[in-house]
Amino acid sequence: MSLVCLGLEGTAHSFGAGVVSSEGKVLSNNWDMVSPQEGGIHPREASRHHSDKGPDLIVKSLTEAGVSFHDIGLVAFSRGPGLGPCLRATATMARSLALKLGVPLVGVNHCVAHIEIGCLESRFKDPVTVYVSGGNTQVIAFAGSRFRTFGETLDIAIGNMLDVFGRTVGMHFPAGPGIEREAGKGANYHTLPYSVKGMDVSYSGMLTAARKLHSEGVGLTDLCFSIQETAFGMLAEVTERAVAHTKKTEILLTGGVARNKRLGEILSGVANRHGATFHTVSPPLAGDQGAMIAWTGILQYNAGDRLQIADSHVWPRWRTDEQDITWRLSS
Amino acid sequence: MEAFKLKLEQWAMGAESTIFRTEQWGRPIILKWRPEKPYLLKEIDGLLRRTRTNRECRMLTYARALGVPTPAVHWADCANYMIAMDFIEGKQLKQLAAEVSFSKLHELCHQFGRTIALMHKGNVVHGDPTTSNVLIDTTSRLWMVDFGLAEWNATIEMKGVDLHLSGEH
Repeated sequence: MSLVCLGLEGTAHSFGAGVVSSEGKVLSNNWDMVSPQEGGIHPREASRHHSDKGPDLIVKSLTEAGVSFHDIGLVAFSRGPGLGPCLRATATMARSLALKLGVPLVGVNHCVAHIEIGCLESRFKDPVTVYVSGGNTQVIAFAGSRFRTFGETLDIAIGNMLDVFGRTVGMHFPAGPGIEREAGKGANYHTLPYSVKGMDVSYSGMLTAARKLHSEGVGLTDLCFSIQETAFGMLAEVTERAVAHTKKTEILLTGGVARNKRLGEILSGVANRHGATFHTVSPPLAGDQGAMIAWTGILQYNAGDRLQIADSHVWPRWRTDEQDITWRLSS
Repeated sequence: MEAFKLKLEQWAMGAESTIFRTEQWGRPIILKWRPEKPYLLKEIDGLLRRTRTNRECRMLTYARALGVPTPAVHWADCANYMIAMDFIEGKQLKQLAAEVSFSKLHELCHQFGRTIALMHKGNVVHGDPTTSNVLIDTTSRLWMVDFGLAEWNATIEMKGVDLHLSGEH
């Protein structure tokens, strides 16, 4: 008998509701994103957005999936990591639904969900995952029953760096697409801090340097070009170290910044050099959405995971490697 | 006199280099070559290959002078981003970790720690001290390799690795 899971995602700027079956079929996947006219994401405003838009999005996803509330056999929600107020608003909806429908509840790690939905789409078994978004920059691989972060940012996420720089030059959130457009017209490289520390990267120095160059009158197209080449080059190096160290043969690119074509091109070059296959998760499944939560919820549920309502508080700082991956064979 | 011709045999593939095993004057050596990466911007790739090759030569020798077992550099060809060094016959600690007994592993980790301490006392950081970059030779001696990210005049901050520990649950 097929199990139908409703997954609720709400860790940051997006609220998403997705319906997925236990065969791995994404039946529906709807989300809505806070896009402030100016400035960044305010956690309180974002959580208000989630509670305002959440109920309609849930109904919309059920309708699109052609299921009723009573067909839902499992509710999964993003338990962390993320902004506290957003997580709590989302968890409240998930708990109420699970209680009302009398179905089990599962708490999902947001980063793990990005990997699992990527594996579902690509049919990858055991990839090195490059997860890049506004809040996260991680190079992750499975080892010894956990997803280990082999490399990550020591300060701000790559998407955050792009957004803040974009804001400086008058772009709207999210600034990634605008920067990619401008970069396509640039050709002159301006040296920016290339900061790789062992397996980790740092983007704050580059942000400061880029803003300084901008204030000194360096053209936007060349600056965007230089930012992309430097930031993605750093990521390529860390990915390459992880691939060389783990000897894995698949590279998966996911997260909001995975939409960037140049990043995909660079990482596909890395894959090629190491004889690995490469996959960029398609935009609807790469960003923050509910289907990834629903699918990972099913995997956890099938491995015996259940979350009691009383224990279902959120974990804003839940790290990728703190979740036991009981549904994968230990390597 | 005969100019030497090297018979190259690809030995290993690193993150940023290709490692060849060859022989010179009847003795095995390693050639570490940092090839061009066509997927990176030329300016960035060139700068990285140049500075890392340069740095690795210096730091292998500098660390060696501190008492850290590192392969000796025979010669370097900076124009081709290539370093010739001792061939260490053995295995990566990464491979051995799965094979040896716990007490043996314990001993190797201690040896690893003491080696790091030698470097840090000399204000040198390795920059990427993973189990891929530690070789154990056939006599159980531990060697540090891959000094492309090493630095001298290291501060305390550089000698540590940030632990991203969660404090909220």
